[in-house]
Amino acid sequence: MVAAECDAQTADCCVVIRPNCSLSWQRTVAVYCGICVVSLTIALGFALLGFWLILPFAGLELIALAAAFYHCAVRTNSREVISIQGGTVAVMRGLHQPKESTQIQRAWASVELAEPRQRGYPARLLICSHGRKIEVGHCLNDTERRQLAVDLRRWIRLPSAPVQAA
Amino acid sequence: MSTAAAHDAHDHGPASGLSRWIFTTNHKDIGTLYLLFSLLMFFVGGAMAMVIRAELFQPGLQFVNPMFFNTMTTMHALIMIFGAVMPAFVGLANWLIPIMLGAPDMALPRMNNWSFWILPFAFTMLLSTLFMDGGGPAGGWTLYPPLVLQTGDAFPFVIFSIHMMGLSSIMGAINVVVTILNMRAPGMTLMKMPLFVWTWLITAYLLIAVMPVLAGAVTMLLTDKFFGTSFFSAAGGGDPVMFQHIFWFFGHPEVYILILPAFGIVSQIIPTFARKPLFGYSSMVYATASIAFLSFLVWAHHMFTVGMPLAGELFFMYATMLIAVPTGVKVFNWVSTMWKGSMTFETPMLFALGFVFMFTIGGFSGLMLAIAPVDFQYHDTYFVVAHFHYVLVTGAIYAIMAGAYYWLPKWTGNMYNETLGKWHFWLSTIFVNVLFFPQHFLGLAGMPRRIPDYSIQFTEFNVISSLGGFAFGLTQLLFAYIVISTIRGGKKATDQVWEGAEGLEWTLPSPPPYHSFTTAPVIK
Repeated sequence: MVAAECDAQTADCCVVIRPNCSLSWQRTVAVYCGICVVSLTIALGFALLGFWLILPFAGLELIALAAAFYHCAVRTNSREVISIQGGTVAVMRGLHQPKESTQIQRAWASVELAEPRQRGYPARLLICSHGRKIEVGHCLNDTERRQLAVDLRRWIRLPSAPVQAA
Repeated sequence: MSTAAAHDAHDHGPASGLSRWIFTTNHKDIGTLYLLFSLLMFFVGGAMAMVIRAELFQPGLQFVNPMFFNTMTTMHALIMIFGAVMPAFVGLANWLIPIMLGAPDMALPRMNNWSFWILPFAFTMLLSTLFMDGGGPAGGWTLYPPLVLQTGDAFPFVIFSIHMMGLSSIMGAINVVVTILNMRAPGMTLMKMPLFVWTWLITAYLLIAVMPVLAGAVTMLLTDKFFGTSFFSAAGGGDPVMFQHIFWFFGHPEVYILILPAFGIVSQIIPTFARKPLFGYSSMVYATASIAFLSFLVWAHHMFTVGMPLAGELFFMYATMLIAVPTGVKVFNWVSTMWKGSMTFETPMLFALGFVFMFTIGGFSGLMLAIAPVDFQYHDTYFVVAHFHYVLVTGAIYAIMAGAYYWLPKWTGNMYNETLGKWHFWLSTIFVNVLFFPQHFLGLAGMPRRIPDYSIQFTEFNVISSLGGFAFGLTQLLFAYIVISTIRGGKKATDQVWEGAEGLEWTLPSPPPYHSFTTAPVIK
């Protein structure tokens, strides 16, 4: 999903790209706790009767489930931010704060949509400058990616706002 | 801050050759692997059933010794349950859940690969026990101690293979839960999900709840045998009956793990060929959840004869009968969906109708078994064998075959041979009834299960049953031929395939591209 905010006066843009996520973090925690209650009740019940070897398996399984939910939540809550400000285009990636960042000059930046070699495969959206290619929008579907390519070309080409004297 | 790596342009397509299948993380590839593995195991388990029916063709011992006969009954059950039916449902889940939800793939693709590739090793290990000193496991798939502790060298290998199967199931279940909850396309709310997805969500939840119980139970058997514990040894102060409680606390939900996805498949197929929306969608969801909930409360109906308090017998009897209510809701809804529909009877619909009719027969014999005083007569007889084969063969396996015919054109891009499909259905339906229906009478007359020899008065029905078994087994070769010939070619299937089909999977091309939903799916 793409959310963009552009300032018509300064020609600056901020584009936020995030994957689709159909379960919020709060609901993920609630679902996980619900599963834990049932599994641990069963395992503790048997443990109290003396059959304690069920408990470690239940524990291991719940740890694996937690890891799976966490991994998925991290992936679906990650963000890609393309910041077009003044003469630079910055691409940042991260979860709650940028973990990776790349800056290129706006004047030299171009947007490429690499078509797939085979029909049915997704195209790849690349921001290029001086031989470097930064892929963005990997989590988008093709329709969104193609629309973003059109929009990015338009936003990057916009003339920079004149620098005001201090 | 680090600098983002620049990416080379490449298309992430399938690798070529064998490495595509070994290292694949694509849900369609893994679904295909699961389904083919399941078909292979269906024939391995089926071959063991042929040994059983050949031995039972006449009274007396003909072909195998009693020990090997019991090994065959044990292995047949383990292979059919864990190797054929469960992997078939996981294969269908892999193929269908992402494309039914509008998701690009399963949530955890690498784990998906591991959960499949554990299975060939697990079943190779299980089958290798046939060649070990003391033979394979012969104490029945329920592994009751102290009998199972008499297994020879095979014992730890059997336990380890069960652990591997359980690990595979748990990884599959975790993947299904996380995928369904996190990866639905925008607009795909829970109550818009196809019934197949709903039934799999509930099945995966059941798997997560009960698999540690099985793992713990078999590990305690192992420690009793090798590490001097006495969990189930009366001599050391343990309780062998408690193993039965623990096993069936896993085992009864396991029965629903084997049938709930079948309900989902049939709920997809009947509306398509009745050309009407499914009657009572919400009630179907709630009925499935009710069945899953009740499955935790009825385990002791498998062991009425161990000697439990009257109040316990009454509780488990009535709780078991209660399951007939949500199951009845489902059957009512399937029949109501067909009512005044523009029905056609292509092979998937025939198998779905066969499921509804014959699963109901299995359900009714289950109700008979639920009556505690009556169960004292039926317990451990061929009546029980007839009951669970009506539920699992004409229930679960018929639904899998219905699903295979229904989605095969979508998966392969080719239509199967409809005439051969109908032959497969009618021959299967005739012979499966010749095989299993007489077993009701054998059980009522008192023939015990798990014996290679029997009293002479049981001969006629055993002859009929064995003939039905051989014919049913041969008929399944036709299914393998139809599947292989459809994969190899045939009339091209359209994207929609079936006139009345609805759902996101039918909006994709046939066969679907390696990466699904490069354009946003439209949720109605």
